Order: sequence, then C-alpha cells, then structure tokens
Amino acid sequence: MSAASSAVFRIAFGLVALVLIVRFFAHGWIDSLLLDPVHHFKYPGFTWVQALPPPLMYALFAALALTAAAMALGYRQRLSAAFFAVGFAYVELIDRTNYLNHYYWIFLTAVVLAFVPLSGMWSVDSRRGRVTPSRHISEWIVWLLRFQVGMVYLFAGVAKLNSDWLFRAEPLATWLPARSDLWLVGPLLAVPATAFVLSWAGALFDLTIVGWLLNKRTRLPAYLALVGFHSTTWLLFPSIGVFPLVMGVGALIFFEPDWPLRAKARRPQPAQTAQTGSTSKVGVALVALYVVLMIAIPLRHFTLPGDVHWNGDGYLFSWHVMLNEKAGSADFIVTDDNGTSWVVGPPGYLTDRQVAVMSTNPDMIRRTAELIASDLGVSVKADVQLSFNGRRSVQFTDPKVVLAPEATESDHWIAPAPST
Amino acid sequence: MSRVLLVVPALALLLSSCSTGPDQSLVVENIASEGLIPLIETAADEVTALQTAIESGCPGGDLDGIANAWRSAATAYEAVNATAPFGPASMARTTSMVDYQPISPTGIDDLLASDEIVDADYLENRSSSTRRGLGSIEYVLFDIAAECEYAAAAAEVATSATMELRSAWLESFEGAAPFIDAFTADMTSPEALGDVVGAFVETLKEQQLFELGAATGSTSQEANVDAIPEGALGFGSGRYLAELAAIETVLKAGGESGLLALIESRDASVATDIDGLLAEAQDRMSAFSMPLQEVAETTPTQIDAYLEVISELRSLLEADVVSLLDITLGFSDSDGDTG
Repeated sequence: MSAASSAVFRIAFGLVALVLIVRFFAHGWIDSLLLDPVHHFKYPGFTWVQALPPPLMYALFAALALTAAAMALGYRQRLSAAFFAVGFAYVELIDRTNYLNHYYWIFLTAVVLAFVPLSGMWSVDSRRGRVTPSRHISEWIVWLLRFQVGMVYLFAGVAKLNSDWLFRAEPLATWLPARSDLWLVGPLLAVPATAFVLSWAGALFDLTIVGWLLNKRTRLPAYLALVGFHSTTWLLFPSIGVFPLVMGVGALIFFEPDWPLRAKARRPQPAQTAQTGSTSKVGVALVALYVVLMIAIPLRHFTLPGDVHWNGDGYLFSWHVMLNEKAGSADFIVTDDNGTSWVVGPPGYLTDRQVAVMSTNPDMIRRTAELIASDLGVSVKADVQLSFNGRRSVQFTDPKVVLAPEATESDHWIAPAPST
Repeated sequence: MSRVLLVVPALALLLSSCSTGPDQSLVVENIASEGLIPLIETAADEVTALQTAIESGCPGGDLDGIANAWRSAATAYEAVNATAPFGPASMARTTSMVDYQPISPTGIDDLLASDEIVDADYLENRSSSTRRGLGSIEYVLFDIAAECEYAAAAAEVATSATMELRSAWLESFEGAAPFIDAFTADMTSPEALGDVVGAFVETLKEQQLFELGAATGSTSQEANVDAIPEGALGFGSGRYLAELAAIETVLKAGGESGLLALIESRDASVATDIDGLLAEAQDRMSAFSMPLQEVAETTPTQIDAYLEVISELRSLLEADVVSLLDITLGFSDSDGDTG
C-alpha cells in the first residue's frame, strides 16, 4: 500500500503538534496553567508529578516544539514521537484542570507514531539513508491511523445519544444564543429550533462520518462536510482552539493511500494494490491490545453508577467533546475540634480556572476539601450549587457529608442527576 | 434576479425577527455607556466635591457638610469598585489611593506625631495605602481632632486618582466611543460580560465571606466585627447599599437592551430572581438603623439572614448566569474542547 498518505499524516501531525506547543508560548499558558498555580490537581496515581522549575519547563516546551518539527520532517521520527509523547504526557499530568480531549488525542497519536514507522517517504531519515526509503507501507498501519481518527467521531457520537442532547438540545440551546451577535447567522442562532437541528445533525454527523469517509463514492463530499462541520464549530466556538485543525488534517488519512501522489502528479494514477507487510506477533498483539483499550476506555462509564454527564465518573478519555454546560458555585463548611462551624470559599491560592473546573467536578471538590482540611486543621463539607445543561442551579453536593480529612468512599455525597 | 434581490433582505428581516433577546454587543455598549461610565464620572465628581468641602469647610467650619460630602464620595467610589475592577486603569492602584481598607489608625497617629510634612506628595508616594484614602479622612476628621491638612492632602490624592481613572476610561482611546473601546479592547462580548458578572460575584463574595460573614462568625472561626470596614461615621451599611445599587444599575443599564434583559431572554425566572434578591438584599441592609459593627455585635443573626440572600444571589450569578451567558469568570477559556 502506498506510504504517501501516512507520510502526509506524519507531516500534518507534526505541524499540528508544533502549532499546539507554539500556542502555549504565545498565550502564556506555560506560566498561567503550569507554573503560576500554587497547587495542582493531580490525576489518581500521578500525585508524584511535579511542575519543573521555570527554566526547565520552558526548555521542555522548546524541546517539544523541536520534536514536533522533527516528526513533521521525518527526522528520527519514532524517537521524536516517543520524546514528544512522554514530554506532553508529563505536561498534561501536572494538572487535571488542563485536560482536553484533543490534548489526549495528540498524546495517543504520538504514542502510535513512536511505534509505527512512517518516515520511509518524504522524510529526512529516508533522504539521509537512516531508514530505507520506501513508497510502500503495511496496510494495517493505515488502518490503525484511520482507527485513531475514527474513534473520536464514533465515541463523540455515542456520547451524544442522551436525552439532554437529543430532546432538550442542550448544551447548544444554551451556547448558541450567546453567539447571537455573530454577523449574519447570529439571529438564527438565537432561535430554539436551530439548537435542535444542530444537535441532531451533530449526532448524526459524528455517528456516520467514518462510514461516509470509508466509502469511496461518498468520501470526497463527506470530507468536505467534515471541513464545513469543523469550520462551523471553530467559528461558533473560537475557544475550541486547534481541535478543528487536528481533526481536519487527521481525516485525510481516509482517502486512498496514494492520494498525495495523485494530487502531486495532477493526473490519475493506477490504484495500487494492497500489500500486507509482515508484522511480528508481538506487534499484532500490541495493536490489538491498543484497539481494545481504546474501545473499552470510552465505554467504561456505562459500567459505573450514575450519569457520567452529571457526576463526571468515566468522563476522562471518553471523547465527550463539548457535550455539557456546567457552572458551579462552591463553598465549604468547616468545623473545628470545638464544634464551631463556619463557611469558607475555595482556597485563595487556586486560580480562577481551577476554581471554575473544580466547582463542577466531584474528585476536585473532594481534593479541595482535603486541602482546606490540611490548611486549617478542620473537617470539611462541600456546599456546591451546580447549573447543568441550561437548568436552574441545584444542590450538587450533600453539605452534611464530611469529605475531609477522613475519606468518604461512597458516591452518595453527590446528588442524583436531575431527572428533567 | 429581482426575486432573489427581494428574498435576501426578506430572509434577513425574518431572521432578525426570530432573534430573542437583545444584541450582546449592544448590551456591552450599554453597560459601558449607561452603567459604568456614569458611575466612574460620579465618583470623580463626588471625590472632587469632598476635596472642595474639606478645603473650604475645615478647620472650624461645616463638619456636617464635610461628613455628607464624605458619604457621597464613599458611596460613589464603592459603586465603581463593586462593578468596574477592570478596564484601562489599574483599579488596585486607584483603590489604594482612594479607598483602601482597612486603614491603620495607629499608623496615621504615628505619622501625625512625626515631624514629616504630610502633604499630597508624601501620602501618594511615600506613605502606605493604610494611611490615605477616604478611610483616613474619616479617621482624622471624625475620630480624632480635625486634622484638616492631613484630610485635605488625602482628599487631593483621592481626587487625582479618580480623575486619572476617568481619563483612562474617557480619553485614552481615540474614536467615537472611547469608553467602550476601553471596556472591550481585545475582548469579545462574552469576555466583557464575564468581566462584569465576575465583578459582581467578587463583590458579593467579599461581603459574604470576608467582611460581614467574618464579622458574625459565619465565615470565620471567631466573630470579628472589625472585618466590616466602618469608621466614626458608621457608614458600613451605606457602603454595602452602594455596592448593591451599583450592581442593579449596571444590570439594568440599557433597559430592554441591558444585561438583565439579556439574562431574561435566556431564562426569565433567573432574571426575576436576581431582581427580587437584589431588592430584598437592599431592603434588609437599609433596615439596619445603627452602625453595622454594632448590628454584628448585638444581633448577628440579622446580618446572617441578609447574607443568606447574598449567598443565593451570588450562586445565581456564579452558576446560572455564567451558564446562561456561556461566560467564564476571571480567565479566558482557551483551547477548550471540554464541557
């Protein structure tokens, strides 16, 4: 199978990763998200991850930029991708507040690129003879890359199959009117029916786009629709950042593997027959394990109690992209050894962003309670009001349940999801 | 072709008629032009009037008149502080010149007892924030013997700072509507709305968690009435009323094209509740007939009852309004695909 499209995938991925890192520099996020916060919310099992001192953190980001460029150039591709994956994972593990679906996708894709050889074509490595130049690639690699892109749409589509999305058109019914000052289309966005149309269209798009892209006859219009879809989301929600770019270039992998050659030659070339390269049993097992994990992880919330959209259990790594609108107001009721109780806000050393994310997330609320308990030497309960998908705010946490210093194992301190 | 030409404007008209609620950009413009700017101009005028009153009425003159001027200045500045802690000037610096709280009475005593020549230059450039501003004027004129020169110097510093604030909003930017540029420079309307709602939330938090709540002990381990910024004139409730009135002014600036109307267009019940809670809070605060520190000491439950209203109002703004307007408070939601 032609290696051209996977080479383009490598180049595009490297460039997108480079843009991502440059944005951290340009927007000052290295400071504001990683260095400035006094406290970082850790992922379970990764509490040992600490932010580097500022010079080293900047050096790390410079190295990430270089390795992203190296991936694009095909310079020691697998080593570069491995470094990028480890470095970017470290950055993301510093603070759970900064979790984004497309950051997770970037990490996963870097992991894939650390294992699969994509520098046989249009790369520094092949030009210098570091790898054997090859215009062909094993078919499974292309399919793995297609899976890598396709799973985002599929699971994002499955996640949209919930009553809020389909029958209340939330959160779009909340978000779209806030864009009603957009030129030309603004007034239309304030119309309730628009949210319903876009909600159903979005679900249908996510659930079916992979099929349309796989079908040769529908591929081109499907891709154009995909570009239109992501352009629209970017116009409506500019803060979505590089996500539309990530998916827009990633989806090119669904075209015929030799499409870059055809485009370059500007004339039709005979279709190449598929060649299945030899792959070790270990390689096959690893790919199979990866695919199984990538399917199981986003679906795990179906095995957990409660509504993932409300309590967040199983939300991470599940491709729940722009699926809920939540805003919370959090206070904490503290009691000292003498039984005196009073109310405090979130610790002043948390950033506004951390407070906003924390106020909607049970794990982070509990962690904040632990912080307060440790700071003041008191027991702590959380009193959090949450507005969820356009509903009036309601009590999210049970203000009678002590969260810290002793841990409460049960999930009962989170109120049940609103039924209507 | 002519049919097409007719259909396009007709469609545009139809879409416009479908629009629910006021245009957000217009709301932002109204917040600036009918809400914030008048408050800032009033603050500059009232602080200047206080300086004039001190210079003409002290010493030995009309202390009651000065007290009234002081209350007007404090009311006007508190209104700005509660609603516009952002924009083209550093409000932290302005507040440190105009109305930093708490002041340090012993620090002022020490300064008065020293050989220093306490003039505006000294207070502005060589003194700490705790020795100048409206609080210091209240202290030197009404707590201790009338120290007119000190008060006049502090008033001059405060006037200069409020005039700078007004200039920053009105004159630093060229164009037809400079104050709107000043408010929204490099911002989208949701970001500007986030700043405004964020200011409201911070003001209410300050009342609930750090001042009144701390005074009654509902938000601190021990009750501490000194947490309420209040001096000899017993103007604590006046400050809080000024904050609530300013929030209401900014919410309703622009009427049908104002922030409250925008909230109403998204969820009428939220707007109604905000309006009702603001009115209830103002009623409760107005009912305190004695200095607020005394109320906190004698009948803290009355203040706690007021704080329940404030807590509910804050929660509505922090959770419901943030959600309805799809805004963030205090940070820019960048590169996000969560939710």
